[in-house]
Amino acid sequence: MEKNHIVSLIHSKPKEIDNLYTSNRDAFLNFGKKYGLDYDDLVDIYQEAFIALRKYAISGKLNKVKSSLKTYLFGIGKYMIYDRLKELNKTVNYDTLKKVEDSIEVVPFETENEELTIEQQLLRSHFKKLGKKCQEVLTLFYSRGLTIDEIVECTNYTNNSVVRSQKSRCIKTLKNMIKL
Amino acid sequence: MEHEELIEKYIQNGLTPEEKKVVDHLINADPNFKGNLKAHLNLKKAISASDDDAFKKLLNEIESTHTTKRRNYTKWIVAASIVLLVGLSSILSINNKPSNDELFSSYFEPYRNVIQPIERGNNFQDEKTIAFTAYEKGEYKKAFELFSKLHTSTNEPYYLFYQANALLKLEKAKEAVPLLLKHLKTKDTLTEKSRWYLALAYLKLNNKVEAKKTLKKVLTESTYKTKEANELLKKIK
Repeated sequence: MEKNHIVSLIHSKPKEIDNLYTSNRDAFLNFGKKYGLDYDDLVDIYQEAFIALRKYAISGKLNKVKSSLKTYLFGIGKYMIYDRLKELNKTVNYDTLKKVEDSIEVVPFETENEELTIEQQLLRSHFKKLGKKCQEVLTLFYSRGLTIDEIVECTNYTNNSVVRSQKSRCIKTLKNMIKL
Repeated sequence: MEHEELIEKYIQNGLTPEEKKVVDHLINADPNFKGNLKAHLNLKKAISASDDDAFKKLLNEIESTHTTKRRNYTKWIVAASIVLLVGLSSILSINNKPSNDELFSSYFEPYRNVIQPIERGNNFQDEKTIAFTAYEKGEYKKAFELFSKLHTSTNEPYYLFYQANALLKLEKAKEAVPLLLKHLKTKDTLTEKSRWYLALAYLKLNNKVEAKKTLKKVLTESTYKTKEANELLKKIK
């Protein structure tokens, strides 16, 4: 897959996400229309598929994917369309599905339904109260999976020891917030 | 390798197979390491959830710019459909149910000349005869003018009635109304009929309230056109 797109997904800069989201949106809605789902359903599915795509970018899975971002995104979307159809009809009308011919290969996506533990929920709500700098460095490290060196590259921190100390200070603040 | 570094790599899925074995061993052998790793995994889970929320919010914001465009578009479609529907329904209702104007046309007929019998071939014609001849011939403009003149000179109330009839035929219902009201105050053989023509004048003016009120009076106060008055009352929209 396009390396620059993967980077865009990981870093999630609003402008780049907007470009990626918007450039594939209408084509996807058109693609999904064939399955007989309505506009609102398809918009929801497109968003879900896009979120899933980003998860795969972060986990490193997309690095091994050979198809383009668009094909892969549509593949996830197609899987979700089937899921939605199953929900609606209990049984999918396979005759209708057979009539829909496209070259998009379905990409299975398992939603993590694992609920957050109470401690995790507490961490999440207090995390949002941290300063912008702390939120940024912790997000880059824990959620986006960037290494300390990569964080130095994409931020204003001068070297990795500054990043490390900033990170431990932020974790300490967060832990203290929970204890209170 | 330091424990911290191992945990870091574990969090970021960056462990080599050998390092993975070390971590698995430490989880079982070192409760401290296990607790520390768990704390970092909790952070990962919580911060990822928060990051996901923010990303969803971003997508919603992006989507809303598209949806607003569509909503505006939809709004136009809806507005256009309403205009079309209103247009269609008025066309249909004209077809199904006549408008008040059409009701007027189907019920209105100038009252016949009962005043001046016209004798054909009579060369001598006074003004009165000329007026009613014009009226009978359908020359309503001429008739109206002559009736006005005659009314001024003779003050005969029935000229008011025929003036109004001529005006109604000329589609000047607005001018006919005061003449009919004036005529109603007089007592002559045609006064009874005036009420019916007044109702039609109101109908022509699309004054439904007065038209209905007057028609009810036609029903209660006269014997002229009561059947028609009854029908009309039901048909007026």
